[in-house]
Amino acid sequence: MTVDGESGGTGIRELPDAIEAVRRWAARRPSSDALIWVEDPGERRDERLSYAELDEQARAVAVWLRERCPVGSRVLLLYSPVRFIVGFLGCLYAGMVAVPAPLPGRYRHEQRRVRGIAADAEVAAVLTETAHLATVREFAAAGPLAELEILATDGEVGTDPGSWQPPSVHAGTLALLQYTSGSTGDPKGVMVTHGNLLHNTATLLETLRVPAGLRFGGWAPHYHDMGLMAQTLPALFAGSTCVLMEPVSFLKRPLAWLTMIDKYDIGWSPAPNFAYDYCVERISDEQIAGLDLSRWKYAVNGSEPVRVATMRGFARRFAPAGFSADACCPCYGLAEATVFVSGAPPRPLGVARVDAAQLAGHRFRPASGDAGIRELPSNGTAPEYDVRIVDPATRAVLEPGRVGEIWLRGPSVTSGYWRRPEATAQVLGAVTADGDAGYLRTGDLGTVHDGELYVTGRIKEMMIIHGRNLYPQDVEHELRGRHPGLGNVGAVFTLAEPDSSGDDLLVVVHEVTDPRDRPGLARLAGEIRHTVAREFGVGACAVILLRRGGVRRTTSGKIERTAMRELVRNGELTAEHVEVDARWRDLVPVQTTAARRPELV
Amino acid sequence: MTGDLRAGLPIPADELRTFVLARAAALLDVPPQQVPADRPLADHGLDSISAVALVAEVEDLLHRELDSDLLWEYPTVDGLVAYLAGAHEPGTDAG
Repeated sequence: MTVDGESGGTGIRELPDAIEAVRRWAARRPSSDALIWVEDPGERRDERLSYAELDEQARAVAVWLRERCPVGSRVLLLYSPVRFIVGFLGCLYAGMVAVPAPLPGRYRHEQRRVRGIAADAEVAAVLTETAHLATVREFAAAGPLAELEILATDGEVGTDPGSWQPPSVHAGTLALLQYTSGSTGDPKGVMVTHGNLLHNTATLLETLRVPAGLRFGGWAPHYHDMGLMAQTLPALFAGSTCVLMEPVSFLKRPLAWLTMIDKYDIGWSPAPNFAYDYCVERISDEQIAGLDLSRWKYAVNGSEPVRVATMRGFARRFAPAGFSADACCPCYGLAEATVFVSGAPPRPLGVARVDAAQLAGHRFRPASGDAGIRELPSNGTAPEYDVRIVDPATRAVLEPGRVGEIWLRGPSVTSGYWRRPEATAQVLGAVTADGDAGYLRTGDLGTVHDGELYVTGRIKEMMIIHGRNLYPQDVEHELRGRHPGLGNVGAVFTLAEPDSSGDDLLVVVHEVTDPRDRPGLARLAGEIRHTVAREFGVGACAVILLRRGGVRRTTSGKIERTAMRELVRNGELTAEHVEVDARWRDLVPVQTTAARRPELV
Repeated sequence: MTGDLRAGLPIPADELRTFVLARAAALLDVPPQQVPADRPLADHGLDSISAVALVAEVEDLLHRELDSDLLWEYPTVDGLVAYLAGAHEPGTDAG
């Protein structure tokens, strides 16, 4: 199937819209597999959808939508990852705007988030699948979605796909709202156009020199920019096949992911950094002996900070299964730039060894000795972007060797957030101090070294834990609402695990109303950890309870999370009560007023 | 699924309890005696991914398919074991 020298990206940029990017394959290779939904990779239990079937189903959904809603309407998509694409294409075929969201699960935080997205986008209809129809109906009935029509697209749609008429769309027409930014209380939908999708997919396929015919696949969820635009759409736009499994199947048995890559001949599979560590921890030597990973050419690592140690550890562990270290493929991207920004074709992992002390002073200097070194992975090149490294405070473009905010300009950069002119103005259309205009401020810190992009950290307060974006405001809000013993002021932030480039240990610092109630404080600390785990699905490595006035705020009342983080790290905080995981005790050197040492749990 | 669940355990309940405590301790990276069986594991830092991993290990031990959210319904080791042993109808005891 592979044509030597032909990139899978050839010609995509020149297409009129994303509908044509898929439809052309329904005409050219109607019976080829567009999608394979894998239930059990070991037993090869799966369902397949050809390009002709996908096209027909999308047309049926589009006709259904057009009978009910005007062109340009937003449509909420509540699916399991594997069934999602029919609804997504149905929206595009109808000239409407897809709004992907996770299925409202058991976490109240998630349910609130989906309701927030639906309200912000003012959706006109909901698409789902038979297996989740009852749950989605129940969810919709309890909220502002009660009046909306809901269709299970894998059931009886009841329309004639033959009556479908192509909508009048062009490169600038909105295709989807990508809600990966913004806290629960303030969701922000990135406006992605047909032109963005075409340009970004072509950029991804060309920058990484992905050969035509290479199969894509994985478990990255569709409501995440990486799952949709760095996994499914490149496969469909290039006329290849996308092989999908449920994220929870991976979480339960990471071996299933690698088995699927082997059995289904997948050459490209993306995952966040934690997934590679998870495989190393959870897959045994015997299981590795049964795998052949030699055809996995692109083990894409993105959506959370990439660790050199993770990629090396994964390559070493799976070398006996034929995995090539050259397949480790760190990429940089963000939803505001559709998804893909930079990467490199398969090659030995690019690593810069830099002086950690210099890095703390925002200078990127190759290290001389062996001590005080931080290893940073290269994120390759960004040939389709103008990249500037800018001082976030003065907006001055920094000279080479300095670390600053990464600014981007190019056709994949989106036009901003849905109906959020202020948030859009803060992030897009940025102008450098010397008057160069039209940049996206990424909020990420990094530098360009020898023509390649390195990401060193974030300046935004968003926390990325296991590939999920969490906002401190959301956690603080939930804690205040649930625990009356807490005062009004708290600060939630993350600390880095030792030897890592990501901050993924969550710390809760909070003021309490009654610091004298010692047994009450211990109970409260336990309850806080319970709430964080239950509502957000992450563990809190430490809970630190302070007297009133202990959490620093600016004169305007803004919580100074970064300052609190430094106080905790430097052991400059005295707390009324501290509960910290034994293994992270050294990271949280906080004294208590009652005891010299924090209580271990 | 209820009939299947009430069919009982292929191993003694206390063996299952020991297994769950040991696996939870491994996921939390603490000695098993530090994992209390009667308090929610989430209070001790078990995150949602580890909770799914623990359910998968129990599935493998018992050779039966379980809801990946089971620890949400039964957040303590004792509650989980009692449920699996068929002492409760699904959803009647949050552990």
